[in-house]
Amino acid sequence: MSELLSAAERAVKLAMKRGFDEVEVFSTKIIRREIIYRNKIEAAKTNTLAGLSIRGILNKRLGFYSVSSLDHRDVENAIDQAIKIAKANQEDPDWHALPRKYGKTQVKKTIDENIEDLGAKDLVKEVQLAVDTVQAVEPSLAITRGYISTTVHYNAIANSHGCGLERKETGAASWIAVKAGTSEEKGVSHESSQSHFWKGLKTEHIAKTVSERALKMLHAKPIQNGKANTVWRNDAFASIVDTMLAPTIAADAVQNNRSPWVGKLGQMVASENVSIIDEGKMVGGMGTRAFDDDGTPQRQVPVVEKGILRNFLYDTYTANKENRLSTGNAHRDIGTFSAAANYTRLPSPYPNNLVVEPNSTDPEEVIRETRNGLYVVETIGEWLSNPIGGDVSATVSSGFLIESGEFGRAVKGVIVTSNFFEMLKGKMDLRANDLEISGSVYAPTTQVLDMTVAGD
Amino acid sequence: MLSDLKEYISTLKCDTASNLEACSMDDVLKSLANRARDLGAKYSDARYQDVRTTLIVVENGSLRSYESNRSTGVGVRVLVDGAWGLASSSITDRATLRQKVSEAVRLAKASRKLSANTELAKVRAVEKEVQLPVKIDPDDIPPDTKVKLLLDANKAAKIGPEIKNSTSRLGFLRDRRIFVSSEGAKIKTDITTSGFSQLSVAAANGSMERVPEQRSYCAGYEFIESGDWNAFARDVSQLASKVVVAPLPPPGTYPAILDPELIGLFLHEALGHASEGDLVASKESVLDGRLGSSIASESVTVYDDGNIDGGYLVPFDDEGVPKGKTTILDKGKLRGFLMSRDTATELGLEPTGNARAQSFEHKPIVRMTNVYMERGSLTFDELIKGIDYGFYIRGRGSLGGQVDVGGGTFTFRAGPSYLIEKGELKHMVRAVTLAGKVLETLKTIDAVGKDFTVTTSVFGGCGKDGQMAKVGDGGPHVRLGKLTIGGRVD
Repeated sequence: MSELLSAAERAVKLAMKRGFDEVEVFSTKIIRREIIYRNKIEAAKTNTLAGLSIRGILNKRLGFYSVSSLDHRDVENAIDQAIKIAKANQEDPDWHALPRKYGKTQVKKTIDENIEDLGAKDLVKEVQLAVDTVQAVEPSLAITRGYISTTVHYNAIANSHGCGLERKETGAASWIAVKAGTSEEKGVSHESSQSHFWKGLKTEHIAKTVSERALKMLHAKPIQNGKANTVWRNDAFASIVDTMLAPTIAADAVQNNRSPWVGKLGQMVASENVSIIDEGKMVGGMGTRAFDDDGTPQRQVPVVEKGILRNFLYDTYTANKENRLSTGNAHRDIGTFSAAANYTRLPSPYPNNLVVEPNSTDPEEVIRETRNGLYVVETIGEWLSNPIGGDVSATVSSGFLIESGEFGRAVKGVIVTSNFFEMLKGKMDLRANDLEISGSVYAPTTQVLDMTVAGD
Repeated sequence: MLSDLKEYISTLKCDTASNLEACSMDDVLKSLANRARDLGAKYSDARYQDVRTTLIVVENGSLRSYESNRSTGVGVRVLVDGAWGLASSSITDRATLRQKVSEAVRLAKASRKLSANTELAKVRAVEKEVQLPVKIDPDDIPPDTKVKLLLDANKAAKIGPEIKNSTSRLGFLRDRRIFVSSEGAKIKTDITTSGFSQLSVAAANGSMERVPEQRSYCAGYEFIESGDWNAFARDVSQLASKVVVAPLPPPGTYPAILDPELIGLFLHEALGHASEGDLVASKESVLDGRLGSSIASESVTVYDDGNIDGGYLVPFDDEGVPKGKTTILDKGKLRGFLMSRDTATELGLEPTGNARAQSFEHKPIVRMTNVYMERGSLTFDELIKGIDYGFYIRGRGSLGGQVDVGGGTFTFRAGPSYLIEKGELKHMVRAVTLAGKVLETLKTIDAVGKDFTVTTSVFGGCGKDGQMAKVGDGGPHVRLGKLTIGGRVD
């Protein structure tokens, strides 16, 4: 048993002695290494972070406190604080119980056992690769920002019903921004690559891609106001789905009437051609874990099946509220930003690996079939779209005209808008086959018909 | 309240239990900085942080969560042969921390070959302590008092059956930092922020709309006690019930008046980021090479200020440099960039106290503090008179914005806004997305109002390079000649 799980179990016992009816402790340890660079290395960095949270229940009243320490004295203090909050708290009539059983499933390709053995030299070598690749495309190009990082993430969860589990995941990430041109006219482009494995990073590929694109973006301009058929590059479309669907198919959003899907279960919400699945066990998926942040095994959950809304995503609390089983979607990393560790939050339901099912068409074929329109490569502000009202809007920071089925001039600075509910019902039926492991939402290159363009 | 602070420098004494730990931490940090020097670092600093946060959420009449956290840790930063090495840990026993210094030095040495040959601009090593005066420590208010306030406000927001969701939140942040450098600087800061937020979702005619809104202030619980949060929550719901039946505007490029909240957001995205020294030094920013040139009309003067009423208080940055008031634009001319010590050397400018880190584990990078526009002389009526067809863009209910600094495109999401026709306010339009190109849009600012507001948020902040920073922004009402507004063509 690891230090992390024994710390959690010790804290559970201590907290029970103070008089809670039920207690759960979630503990985390993160070791992260990172190199930040431009054309040269700006800084090399390493962090170690450990902490735990106490979730204690007293007469259906909840107390929650977290602390960035596993030290006995700090844990005792955290328990005192949690008790204080629980005693003053309002009774939660929906509180059922902490799980009496935890479970773990088999997951593949989430741990790179060699990542901890990497030295700073290996990370420096990867930076050198990025710099050399960019220079090889065109010596005048400049890397304006970049980072390479590795993470080892340990979690343990234990409760007063005698349950205890631990898990480990590793991660590697590479991100790069490249600039072409002078102060008078610039072209800029960004790319990222993520994997559970160090060898899964595609630093060379993304460095080459951004370099070529930055050169093309040099002369980008807006297009005229009006309507346009668009094709969204896979990652850019995944970001739209993330914004519009991820927060609204979570059971807490539905139970609290802040989802447009209230009362729509079993109904046709999309065209027959659209299926969306949460693949909790996707091989190598960035959201793949043996169990969720409640101790429930992750699994596959069909959300939209051939256009019909089939399921919402549940953690234990929201599942208990409806007297059903959790779907293994408890997350403690929602609403936090970057390094804010997952142990500091209470669980709530969220997608693990939400996948918009691809078709068999090549992306090039989607462009050809679109004939004339706009190819959207990078956007900003798409996360400001409104998932409740359904208004999708994004500002294109990198795109290309599609002219007679081929790429035309570069485009930037236009706002594209549509309605997500209408998109689902027939405006996004043409999709490619190019699903890629990236974040926690996955989509292929997708055609979106009839978007409104605000430009010149 | 913040203006009183200019002359207020408190003395933290080692006489209470809560200060003891922080006081002995001074010596620990000093020994870490010295150890780094012994291992070959030309410069080193050590940062300790103790952050307490509380977030309480009431949704549709019941308490959804009450989360409190305390995070502490130490980060060391060493400069060896022009290369930065950083190491940090939340485990703060002496042995672990000594180990971290060695790791930082080792990392710096490993990256020497490719290093940027960083050099720090000279600054005076300051010893100072700044504590924001807090009348009522939020931790001294019993949890049930806070929950009751939220339950009442949450209920007040249920103004009718059209309100489908009402979510009310209280947020408290106390951020204590100690900075010690090998040059002899020693800075302690202690800043408390409190705030209330309301989200209301309304449904009508088969459509739904949400309006989020918040108020925060650098102060203790006295700020919460001074507000009428029931009225605030009710107003947000009233806005939600109106906007759900409002139309989307026709898309296109129009003249617009931005209110103080949105001019703040606009300046933050369109000008503030582009003036960050690291992005200028890397030549990514569209403002690179334009220092001294005129990039906006004469009516536009913009500052970044660490101490402005309503904003987030930043007396010193995380390099121990005082954050005063930096002029970015003076009567339309680009006068200054925001600097850290290393970007100041690179660009041959003076440090401005803008090197900020989210926490002890992050590298200080160039960040804004509070960016705002100086007020002008016009009334709202005078601003609106000049517009034949355009929009009055409001910040209430806005979600934020983003900029592509290199490409020069910015975007932000406004709250419910209004159509302007022939110099008069007409009907409400739905929340819209706005966009423009930094350099083109700044030039179209043609009239500046005489009101003035700066705001901050305990709930949100500004994200850059994976780090979140607390910021503020604002200004007067301002008229822009040309802004692209996303809407809908039916």
